[in-house]
Amino acid sequence: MSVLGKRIVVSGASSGIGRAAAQILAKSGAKVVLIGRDETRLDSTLNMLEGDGHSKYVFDLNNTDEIPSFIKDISVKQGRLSGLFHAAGLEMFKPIGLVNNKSIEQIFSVSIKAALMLARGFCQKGVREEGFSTSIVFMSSVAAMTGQAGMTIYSASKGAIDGAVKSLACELAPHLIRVNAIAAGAVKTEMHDKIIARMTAESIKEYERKHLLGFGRPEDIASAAMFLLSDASVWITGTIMVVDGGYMLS
Amino acid sequence: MDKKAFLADMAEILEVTNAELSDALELNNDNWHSFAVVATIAAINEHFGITVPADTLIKCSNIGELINLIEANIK
Ligand SMILES: NC(=O)c1ccc[n+]([C@@H]2O[C@H](COP(=O)([O-])OP(=O)(O)OC[C@H]3O[C@@H](n4cnc5c(N)ncnc54)[C@H](OP(=O)(O)O)[C@@H]3O)[C@@H](O)[C@H]2O)c1
Repeated sequence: MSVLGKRIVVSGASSGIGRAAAQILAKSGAKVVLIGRDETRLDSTLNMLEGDGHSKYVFDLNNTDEIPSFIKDISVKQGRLSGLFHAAGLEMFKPIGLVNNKSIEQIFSVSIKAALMLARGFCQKGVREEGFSTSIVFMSSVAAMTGQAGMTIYSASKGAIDGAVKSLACELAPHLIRVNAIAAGAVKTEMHDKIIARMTAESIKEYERKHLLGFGRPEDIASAAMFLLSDASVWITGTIMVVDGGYMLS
Repeated sequence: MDKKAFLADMAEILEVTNAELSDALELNNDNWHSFAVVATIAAINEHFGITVPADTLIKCSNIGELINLIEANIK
C-alpha cells in the first residue's frame, strides 16, 4: 500500500480525520500538503508529521472560485500532486422548518462545492503527475445512505458527493485520475463531540450500539483513505467505500 | 445574544405561533420529545454559542425555565 514519495493534499488537516490521514500518509513516506483555516491547529498537525517535504496552507474553502488557482499555486511551489483527500466538512442539525439559504450554503459550500472545485484544481494541466494513476478521495457519510431526522442538509450534501464521485470517475478515468469517497459512520473527532453533546447519555449508548464495532477512531478512516490514495487501489474508481463499524447492518 | 431569533426558532420547533410562545408555555410529552430537545440544543448553540446538556434541558417544564437555564449558562 505504497504512497512513498507521493505528494498528497489533505483538506481538513487541522483536526480529526484529516489530521489522522496526514499523519499516516507522512509516516508511510508521502509528502503532505495540509489545508485548514486555523493556523495554530494546522501547525500542530505539521509538527506531528514524520519525514520531510510537508507544507501547510491556511485557506478558507468557502472561497470557492479561488480554489483552482490556489491548488495550482501549491503545485508550482511544492511540485506536482499525486493525490487529494478532501476531509474538510461541517455538521449541522436543522429541522426542515429552520432550513434556509444560509444554512444550506454553509454546509454545501465546504462539502460539495469545495469538492468539485478541488477536483477542478487537481485536474488542471501541470498540477498533477501525468502518465500514471493519481487519486481523489472525498469524505462522505453513512448519513447519505441512511436517514437521520434533522440531518437533511448534511445528508443531501454527502449524497451530492456520492453522485459527483460517479460522474467524475467516468470523466477522469481517461486521464488516469481515480475518484472515490469514504462513507464513514460515527468517528470520535471534534465533529462527533458536537453531535453527541446534543444527545442524552441513553441515546449516545444506543447510537454506539448501532455501530456493531463501537464508534470509530480517526485512524480507522485515515487508513481507508490511504488505501484509496495508494497504488494498492489502482483498479478502484467510482466507489463509495463504507467504513462504519457495521452501522449500516443494524 | 440573539433572543428574538432564538424564540422564532423555538416557535418553529414547538410548532406554535410566535404569539403563543410565552414563558408559561408548557413543555410536555406532546411537544418536548427527543427531536425537539436536540433541535433546541442546536438552536441554542447557533444563537448563543453555548452547549446546554440534553439531560439538563429535557427537565425544563416551560419556556421560562428554558430561558433561565440558557441565561445561567451564558453567565
Ligand atoms: N466524525 C464523524 O463521525 C464523521 C462521520 C462521517 C463523515 N465525516 C466527515 O469526515 C470529514 C472530517 O470530519 P471530522 O470528524 O474530522 O471533523 P472535524 O474534526 O470537525 O474537522 C473538520 C475539518 O474541516 C475543516 N474545515 C471546516 N470548514 C472549513 C473551511 N471553510 N475551509 C477549510 N477547512 C474547513 C476544519 O478546519 P479548521 O478548523 O481549521 O477550519 C477541520 O480541519 C467531514 O467531511 C465529515 O463530514 C465525519
